[in-house]
Amino acid sequence: MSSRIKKKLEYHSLNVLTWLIVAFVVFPIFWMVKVSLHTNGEILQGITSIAIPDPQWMNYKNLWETVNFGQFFKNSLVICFVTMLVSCLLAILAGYALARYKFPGSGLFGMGIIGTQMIPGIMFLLPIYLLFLKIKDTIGLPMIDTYWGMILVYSAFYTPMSIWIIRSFFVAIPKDLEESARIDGCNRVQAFVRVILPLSLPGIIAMCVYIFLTAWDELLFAWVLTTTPEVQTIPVGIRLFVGQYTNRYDLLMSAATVVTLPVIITFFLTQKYFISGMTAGAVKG
Amino acid sequence: MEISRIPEQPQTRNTVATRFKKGFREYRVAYFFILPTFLFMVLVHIFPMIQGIWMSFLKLNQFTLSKFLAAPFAGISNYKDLLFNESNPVRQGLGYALRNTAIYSVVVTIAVMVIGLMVAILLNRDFPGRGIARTAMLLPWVVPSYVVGVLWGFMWQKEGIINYILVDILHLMAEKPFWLIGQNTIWAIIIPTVWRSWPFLMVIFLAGLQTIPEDLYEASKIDGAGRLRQFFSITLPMLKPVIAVQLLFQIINNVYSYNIVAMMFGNGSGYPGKWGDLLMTALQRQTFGYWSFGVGAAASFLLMGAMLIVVGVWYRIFRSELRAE
Amino acid sequence: MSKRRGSFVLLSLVVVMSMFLSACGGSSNSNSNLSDTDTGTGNTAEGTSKKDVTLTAWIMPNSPKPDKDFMEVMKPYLDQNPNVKLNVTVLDWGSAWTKITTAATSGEGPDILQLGTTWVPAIAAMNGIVDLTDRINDIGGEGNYLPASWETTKIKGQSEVYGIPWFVDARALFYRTDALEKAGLDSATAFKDWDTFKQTLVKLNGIELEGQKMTAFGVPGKNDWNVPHNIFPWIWAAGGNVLNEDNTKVTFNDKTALEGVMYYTGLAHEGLVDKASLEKNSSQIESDFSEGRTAVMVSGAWMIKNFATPPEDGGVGDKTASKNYGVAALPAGPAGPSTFIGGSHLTIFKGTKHQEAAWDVIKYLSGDEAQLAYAKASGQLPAKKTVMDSLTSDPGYKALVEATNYGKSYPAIPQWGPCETALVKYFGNIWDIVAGVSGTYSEESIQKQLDDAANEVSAILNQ
Repeated sequence: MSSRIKKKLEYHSLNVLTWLIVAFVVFPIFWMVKVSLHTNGEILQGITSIAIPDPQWMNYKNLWETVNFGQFFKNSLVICFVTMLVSCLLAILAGYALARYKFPGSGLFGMGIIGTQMIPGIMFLLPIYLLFLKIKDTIGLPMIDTYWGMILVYSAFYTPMSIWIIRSFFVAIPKDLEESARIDGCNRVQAFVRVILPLSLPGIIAMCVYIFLTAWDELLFAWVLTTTPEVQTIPVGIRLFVGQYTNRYDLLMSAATVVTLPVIITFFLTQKYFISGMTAGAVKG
Repeated sequence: MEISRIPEQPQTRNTVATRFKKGFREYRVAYFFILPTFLFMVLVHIFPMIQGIWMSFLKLNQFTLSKFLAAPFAGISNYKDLLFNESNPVRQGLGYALRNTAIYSVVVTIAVMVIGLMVAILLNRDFPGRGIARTAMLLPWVVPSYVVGVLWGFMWQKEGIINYILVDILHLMAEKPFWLIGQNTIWAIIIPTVWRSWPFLMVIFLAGLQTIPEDLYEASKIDGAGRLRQFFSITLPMLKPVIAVQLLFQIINNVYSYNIVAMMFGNGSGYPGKWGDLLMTALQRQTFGYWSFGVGAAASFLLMGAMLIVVGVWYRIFRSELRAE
Repeated sequence: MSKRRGSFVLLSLVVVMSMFLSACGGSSNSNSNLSDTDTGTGNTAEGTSKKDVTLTAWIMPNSPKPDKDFMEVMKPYLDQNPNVKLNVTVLDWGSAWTKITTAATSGEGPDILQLGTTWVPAIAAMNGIVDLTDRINDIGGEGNYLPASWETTKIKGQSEVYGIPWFVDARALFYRTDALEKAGLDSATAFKDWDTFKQTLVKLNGIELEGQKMTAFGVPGKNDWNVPHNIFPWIWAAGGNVLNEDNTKVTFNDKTALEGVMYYTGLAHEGLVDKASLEKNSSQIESDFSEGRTAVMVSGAWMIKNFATPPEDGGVGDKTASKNYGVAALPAGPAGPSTFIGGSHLTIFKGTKHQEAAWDVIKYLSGDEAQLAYAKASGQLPAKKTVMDSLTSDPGYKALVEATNYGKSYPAIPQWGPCETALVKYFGNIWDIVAGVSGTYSEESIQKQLDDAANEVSAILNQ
């Protein structure tokens, strides 16, 4: 009897704790949205009240007119989405190879791709730029200021981390599961698709989200490798709201809200696929 | 250090070529799988990196930059300046940055890992509204980091919302402190970073938790294990590969952190201060602020070397978790 | 085991070295080829003119709608020259330098390039922009521009001109006329020199208008993009200077310069500035002024435009301050009045294939009409003196234009960028000391920061 009460108490206090954390986490986001509905002057003064006396919905109209934000948005979506697909595919292949085979050089390769993450971006910014120019000079394929140039760089940037993320999931899946599937008559690919993929799906989706959002946030290379608004991404564009002579923090915040909302909605609609409901076999749901 | 293991074959002569050939035949699939990644790495990382290393041996400043790789050779003077020249102002600035980065990385990494894991466990239960809670917790991750810098910059103001909550509502402090100047700066950059990074860890851990077979918990329950013991005897060991990898990534991410700090102080043009400057902001200043590309590249290369040592240590510790078997 | 690993390392080293060697020769070749062909075509292709030409311009966000405002100003020209197509890319100030350096290194960039005044000598030394000396008569020559502004179009000590002043950023005092009235002060004498200025601030401090208490002076601290521009006018007014005449020795840490720094930071130390403002940036300080929290601040021409712009468009035209402000030159120090002159120049990028067409555009932008139109759109002072003078019917502009007569700019040396980077750092430390969050405020502690800054700047100069 008392243990049931204890359990109930525990259940409820954990729930309270969870929602408290949610409140802490969401507060700055709420603040961002709130700030975006104030005037620039109010923002610069520092806002300390919850109320919004005079919501500035105009900010959401103005932000598209002040800079070419729609185009930046589209560029970011295309570049990040394709990068996500490419990186995800490469990472699953290489991650699987690293998790299941001990081929000569696997250690070197695994460490090597971590090593690439240690190179500070500013060190090879100039070299990449010049390399891209050289590619254009040699084979006539323009790389700078193109979608595929950005996609190539981003895919290469985020694949190594993704490989390690997905590899850690592959490794965690007991090998006997795969082997028993093969005994049941599956070939390697079938075993992969039927056993490994469903089990590691949460990991794969987490990895995809990681790739997408990291690319979504990248500034340094986007800045140097794109020159026209036709290719420039959100991080490049959003910074045009603030600077030496124009400081429209109101528009910056509404732009940030606009950038954040679609991703939030996508999260909300797809979260059940990537966090819950993995019902394959022995795995907890 | 052992990198690969191949069945020993005493009868054939064990040359590199035959071993490669043999290895290649046996692991054709694996090589095929890593080939595209390998090519990407060579093109985008290795090749430019070598140019970068070459840059670190050149005297590259605004007068010689247009010659780029043909700029005058400086030998190891860039490195000597960084490591041994006491009077070199660059070195002094990097000292602060190094200290701050160390504090920042350690605190952020630990905080993010612990909070991420705890909340993942908290969310890995059934309770009303858990879908909403999970989505809500992911939100910080979606906010672009440069916006995080600006947003928190406003929140940290002396007359801003954080001081309002701390002092006027909760009465935790007698006086409103400065956050954006002075020693508190380090917290002003740590807290937003933790706020933004932990959701990713939560997602990863949540995904990891779901690969742990339920029957392990059932079995231990029958043995009479409590929650805490289950956590230490099942959850933690089963998550160890995921934790190992995330630990490394967190260290790397935090050491190379730039956006949030840069945007919080003067829209990227200011100096974050003695307690806010990180290695990346310092390196950026060194390279594009002092126009000293050679020294910047040398510092980058040294940093890379130091980080490789960190990776080596990490690999030693988590070796057994990381090995494919 | 270790032997096998060794061979792997060796193998990868060989692969990598071979790539490296081939790349090394290759890229330097392609660089020189590029610049050769570029200058070649630049002279010939344009000879026949009236051919269709597409130009690219890189500008900074100088105005509320950077690209649209610029294109609006360019419209009459483009209508008259249908063969010219103009693409404009807006760079943000924070990263513009990175972008421009990369472009200058490779030779691939825009045709027309806006550069901050302090950047021109550096990019010129980098061989990134075209020498315009032979063309300056087209736009009326040196006499049309402020000396302080014109100086920065050249590398100090050389005669070649690399940029044409586009707009000028000059700083002056903005004050609340109603606050002055309430304190019984006369604006004609209140800001005359350092002594009267301080007295004025003391009288204004704590004054109440519309039920709101004001601090006398608004001053941004470390977290700003103008840190050196905020401090140097006071050093100049004290009789100090950045460097000595021939730019070989640092002088901003001598006694007179220290006096200027101590006077300016002393205002904050003595409570005439709200300490909270020392963590703010220029925008926030301007906002404090518009909201009636401060009675005096230092700002530029864009503020006049802000006061005339309604809040829907991001301005502060609805505030009491917008109807009750005046502009005055910075108070004269022991060595007389002074102010900071910055702004931007238009340059032609070295890699361009359309030098003539690019110059034609610059010529147009330097014309009276375009100067005025862009000044209006951006709220900056036009660079051309005659156009500047035409604005003086507005009392605000009048005071600013007068202030430009005492204007100074930084030494036009290629190393200035790094020097400024160093100054940002040490002046930042000074503001931390003033705010009371790092060490105690005294002549010695400030002198120490200036000396450290001087050491670093000397090292840069001696490179």
